[in-house]
Amino acid sequence: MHEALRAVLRRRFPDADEVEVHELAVIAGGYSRETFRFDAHIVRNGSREVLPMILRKDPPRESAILHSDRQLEHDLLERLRRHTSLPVSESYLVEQDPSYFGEAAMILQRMPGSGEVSALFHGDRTHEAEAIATQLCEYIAQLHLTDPALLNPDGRLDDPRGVGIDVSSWERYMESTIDYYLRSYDDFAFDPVPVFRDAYLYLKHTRPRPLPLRVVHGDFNPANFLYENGRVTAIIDWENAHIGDPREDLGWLKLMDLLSNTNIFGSVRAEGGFLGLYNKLTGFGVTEEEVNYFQIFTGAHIGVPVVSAVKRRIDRKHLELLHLYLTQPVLVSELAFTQLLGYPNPLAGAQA
Amino acid sequence: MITRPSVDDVLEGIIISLQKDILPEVQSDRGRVLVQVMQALLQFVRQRVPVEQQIMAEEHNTITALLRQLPSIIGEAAGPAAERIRARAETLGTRPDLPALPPSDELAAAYRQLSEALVETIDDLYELQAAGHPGAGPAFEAVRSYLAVRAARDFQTYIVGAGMAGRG
Repeated sequence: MHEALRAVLRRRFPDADEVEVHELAVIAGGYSRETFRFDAHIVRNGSREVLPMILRKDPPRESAILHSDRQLEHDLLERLRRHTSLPVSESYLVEQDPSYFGEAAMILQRMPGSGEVSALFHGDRTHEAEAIATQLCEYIAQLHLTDPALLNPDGRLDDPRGVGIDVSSWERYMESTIDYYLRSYDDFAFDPVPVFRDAYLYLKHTRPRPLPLRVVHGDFNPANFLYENGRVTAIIDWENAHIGDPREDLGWLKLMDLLSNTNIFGSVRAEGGFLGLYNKLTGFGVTEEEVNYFQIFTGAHIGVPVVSAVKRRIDRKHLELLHLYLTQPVLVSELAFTQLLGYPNPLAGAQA
Repeated sequence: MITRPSVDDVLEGIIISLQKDILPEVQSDRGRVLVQVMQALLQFVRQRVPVEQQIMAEEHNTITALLRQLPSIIGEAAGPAAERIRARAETLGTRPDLPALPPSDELAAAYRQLSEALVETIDDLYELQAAGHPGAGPAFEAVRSYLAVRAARDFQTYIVGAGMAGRG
């Protein structure tokens, strides 16, 4: 691994006399990529520059939770850095040749800050949590206000999974995306999940009002940002970014707050809360009901590939343990969907 | 309930991961032996779970029959020990038989088939609803009432702790 890193970094920094790799260590916790941290020492003319870096490596295809394109993620990060003030890593390079790292990989700037998010919401850190949640709201609003032509000039974010998504209009986007969910049911249903089937058909038969399609993060959840001293220092993991409805990021954040035992959505005090502030910044006028709809919609967007990987594990196409654990969020989502769909409350009789 | 991954799938997955992911990271001899002990104990559970309840139920009925049979075998033996054997035949020996439990994989397959039927029923109800059939609404209510109970029970049965391991 050291030699492979040195080789690709020497190409990235051709003016360096020497490139050294120090403190290489795996980062635990990432579900979709294999991630390593290290310091690159770039030596030029006798002086040494230390660059903190991350290597994000694709897992083998069968066990991949999300099939995504490292080059696309690299290009998006560079466009975000150019056209927004969102805190994102510089992407140093993409290596598609698997002879270096076994699979395609990318090397990114390692941003400062902690990813220990649950600590913010389970202690006496209310003010810090509020400041960070407010800033996250401002950042996601900024993303959704950015002209998609700047972030997606070549159209590669229109249908990055290549599953037939049509972004020619909001209506076609919703229709083609929901058709993809329904088409995928047999690929991901590791066990019959009637609530999920009901949820996807509900999406098909019920539509909120249209909003302009924008670049969305696609996995805007409590595990995908870093913070330090009451400030968001990085928004990370842009691999699921795509052209979509801005409410997708809000719905997913709210659902993942539940699954992650955090409370970002409920920690904003200004302007009547997260949604009030978001609406003030964007003018989109998003309602709670619309956020609820997009909890299901984005739950499906992430859920289809993730749960398909779980099914491949149960079908023994690979033997990774993590995928068995991922049945946990599936079951939490199932319960959340029954509530979002307005199923009769099984405890109603007991409470009366 | 879910039928897949089964209890056996999960236990086998942990055994494999202990071998593949954990053992290479363990430095001490004691630690390596303990990993092997864990694998053996997990295998012990794998072997017990699919048969234990079925065998217990079957043996329960065999034991009661045996207790009922013993007084005739000891015949006219006298004394406190013989009386105790006759008393057991009258009490424990007269317990009703437990029903035979189906093998766990057979039960899971039957449950799974019905769950698949519910998925298909939901598709059909949306069709009925789209056609304006007045019975679609109450039928949805009936199906969703059951599914709400099922989802709540699944949550109580399967969910371990709050949040997701390794995710901040």
